[in-house]
Amino acid sequence: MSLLLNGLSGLSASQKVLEVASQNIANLNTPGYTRQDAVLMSRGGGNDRLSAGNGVEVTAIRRIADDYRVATLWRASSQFGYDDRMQTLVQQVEGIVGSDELSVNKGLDTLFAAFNAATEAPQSIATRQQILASASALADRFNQLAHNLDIQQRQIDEQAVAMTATINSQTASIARLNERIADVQARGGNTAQLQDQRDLAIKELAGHMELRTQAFPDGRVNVTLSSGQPLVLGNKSATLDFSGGTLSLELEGQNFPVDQPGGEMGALLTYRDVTLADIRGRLDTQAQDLADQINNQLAVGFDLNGNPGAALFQYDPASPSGTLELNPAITPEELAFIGDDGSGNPVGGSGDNSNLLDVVALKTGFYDNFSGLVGDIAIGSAQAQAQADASQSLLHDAQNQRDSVSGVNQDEEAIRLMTFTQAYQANAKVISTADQVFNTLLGMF
Amino acid sequence: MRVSSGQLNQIVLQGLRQQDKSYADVMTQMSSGLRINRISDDPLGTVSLIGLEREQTSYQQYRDNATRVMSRMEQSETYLDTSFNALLRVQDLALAASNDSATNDDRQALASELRTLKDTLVNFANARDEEGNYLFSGSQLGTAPVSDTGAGLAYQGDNLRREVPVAQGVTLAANETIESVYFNGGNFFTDLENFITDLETGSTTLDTTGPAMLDAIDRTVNGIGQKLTEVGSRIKSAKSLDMAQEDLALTNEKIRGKIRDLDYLDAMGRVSQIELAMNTTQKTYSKLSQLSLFNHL
Repeated sequence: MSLLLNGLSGLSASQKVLEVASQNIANLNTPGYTRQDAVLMSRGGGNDRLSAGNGVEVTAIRRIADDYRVATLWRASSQFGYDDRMQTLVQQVEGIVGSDELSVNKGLDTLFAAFNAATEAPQSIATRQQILASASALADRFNQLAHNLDIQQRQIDEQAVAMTATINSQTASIARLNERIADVQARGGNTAQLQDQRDLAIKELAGHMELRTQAFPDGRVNVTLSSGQPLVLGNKSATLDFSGGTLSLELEGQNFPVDQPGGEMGALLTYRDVTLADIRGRLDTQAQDLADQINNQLAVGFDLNGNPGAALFQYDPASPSGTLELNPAITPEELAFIGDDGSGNPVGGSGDNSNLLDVVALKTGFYDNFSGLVGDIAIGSAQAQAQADASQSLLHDAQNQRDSVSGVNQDEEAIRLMTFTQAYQANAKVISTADQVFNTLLGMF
Repeated sequence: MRVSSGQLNQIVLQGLRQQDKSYADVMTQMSSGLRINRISDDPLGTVSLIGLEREQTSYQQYRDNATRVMSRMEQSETYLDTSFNALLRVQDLALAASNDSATNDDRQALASELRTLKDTLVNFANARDEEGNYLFSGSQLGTAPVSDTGAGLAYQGDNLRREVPVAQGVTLAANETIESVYFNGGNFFTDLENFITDLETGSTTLDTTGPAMLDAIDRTVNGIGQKLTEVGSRIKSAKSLDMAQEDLALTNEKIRGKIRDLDYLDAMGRVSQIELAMNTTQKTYSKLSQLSLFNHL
C-alpha cells in the first residue's frame, strides 16, 4: 500500500511547501521579514530490503538568516546613527557661526571702520559716538552667538531625554520578545515572526546606541552596550536615565555609568561635550581677548579731559561671550585716543591720535581668531557630511547583504509555486494510479 | 549574488534620492547665483573668502582715510597758498618802503597796508575747519596757534602730527603746523610789527632794519613755500595710494567672484547630467519592474 501512502505524503509535503511560498510572497514587502524554507526529507523503507521508501516529509520550516550579516547590519546602523546625528548637529552650528548676521568679522569691520574714521578727527564727538555704537553692536554679535550655542546645548539635552524614553521602551520590548521566544520555542512552536520583530527592535536600538549581542540556545538574546553595561538580560531590561547631563543604566538595583554609548545618543553627548564646548571656549577666549586688549590699550592713553582712559568693554569672566557689553559708564569724551608722553602725561591735545593708532593696530589678530573658528567649523562640517555619506552607504551595503540572504525573491517563489503545483499534480496521479492498480486487482474477482 | 525583490526597489530608490539631492543642490546654487551656499560647501574657499573680504574692508577703510587726508590737506593748502600770496605782497611793500626814494607819506601808507596784511596772515594762520578746530596748531585743536598771551604774538600749539593709515604700513599726516614758518629761530610777527612801527614813526634806522626785515620775509616765504610743497606732495601721495587701493580692491573682487560665484555653464552641464541619470534610472526601473515570472503563470 506504499504507493497510496507515498502519494499522500508527496501531496501533503507539496501543500506545505506551497504554504511556505505563500507566506513568503505575502511578506514580499514586509520590513525585516526573513524568508522561510520548508526542509524536505525522504522517509526510509525500514527493514524491508525491497522497499524504495515511505515517501517524503517536511521535517522543519527553516528561517533563512545569517547571524553574521544581521550583526553587521546592527553595527552599521550604530555607526550611521552616530555619523548622521553628528552631521545634523554640526550643520546646525555651521548655520549659526557661518551666518553674515552673526559674523564677528562683520562686527569688527564696523568697529574698526569707526576707529579708522577717528584717526583723522580724534576730537569729534560724533565719530566717538559711532565707535561706542559699533562696539555695542559687536558685543551683541558675540551675545547672539553665545545665546544660539546655549539654545543648541539645551536642545541636545532635551533630545537626549526624549531618546532615553525611546531606548527604554525598546529594551523593554526586546526583553518581552525574549520571554515569548523562549516560551514558544520550549513548546516547539515557530518563532520566526517573533525573531523578525526582535531583530528589527535591536536594529532600531542599535541606531541609538552601539550594541553587542549574545544568543542562547533557548532562543534568548542578551544585549549589552559595546562598553559592556547590560541593556537586556533575558527577560529583564535595564532602565536608562539621563539626568544632570549624564547617562546611567539601572538593572536589578545596580547602577552603571555610561560614557560613550555610540549611536545617535553617543553623537549627542560627544558633540555637546567636545565640539560645542570647544566652539564655546574659543568664542569666550575671543570675546575676552577683544575686550582685554582694547581696554588695556585705552587704559594707557588719555581722554579729551586729560584723564587716563576708561574701559570700552566689560564682561563676566564666567561667560565672556555671553556677557560682553559696552561699558555702560563710558562717555564719548572718555575714549582715550591721546598718547602718553613717556612720563604718564598726555603727549598732546585733543587732536593727538597716537594711542588710537595703537588701538587700530590690534585689528588683525581678532580677525584671524574668528576666521580660524569659522574655517575649522566649515572643515568639520564637510568632514561630518562625508562621514555620514560613507556610513550611509555602508548601512545600505549591510542591508543589501542581509536582504540578499533573507529577503524574498518573487521569481524564486514563482518557480517554487510552479514546481510544487506540478509535484502536487504528480502525487495526485500516483494516488489515482494506486486506485487503478487496486481496481484492477478487484476486477479479477 | 542572490538578489531579493525588495533590494531592487531599495537600490533604485536610493539612486533616485541621491539624484534628487544633487538636483536640489544645483538648484540652490542657481537660485542664489552662489557656488558656496553653506560654509562647508567649500571650507578652503570659505576661509579664502573671509580673508579676501577682510582685505576688501581694509582697502575701503584706507581709501576713506586717504580721501579724508586729501580733503583736509586741500583745505590747509588753500590757506597756505593765500598766505603765500599775502607774503609776496608784504615782500613788495617792504621793498618799496626800504627804498631811499620813498617819502614819509609813502611809508605811512605802506605801513597801513602792511598792518592789514599782518592781520590777514595771523587770521590765515589761525584758520579753523567747519567744526571750529584750528588747522595749524598741531594736536591743540582748541587753541589758536598764533595769539598774544601777554608777551606779543607767539606760537601756542604743539608740533604733533596726526598720522592716518592710508595703506598697509603707510600713514600720512593729516595736519600741518606753522611754527616752523613764522617762528623759525625768530618771531616773524614781532619783526613785522617793529618794522611797521618804524615806518609809522619815521625811524632813522631803516637802513639796518629794512634789509633785516627783507631777510625775515625771505625766510618766511621759503618756509611757507616748503610747506606748500610738502602738502602738495602729500595730496599727490594720498591720490596715488587711493588709486592703488582701488586697483587692489578690483583685483580682490574678481578673485572673490571666482571663488564665490556660480559658473552657470558648468551648473547647466551638471543639471543635464543629473536629468539624464534620473531618466535612465526611471526607464530602467519601469522596464525591470514589469519583468516577473508571475506574468507567465
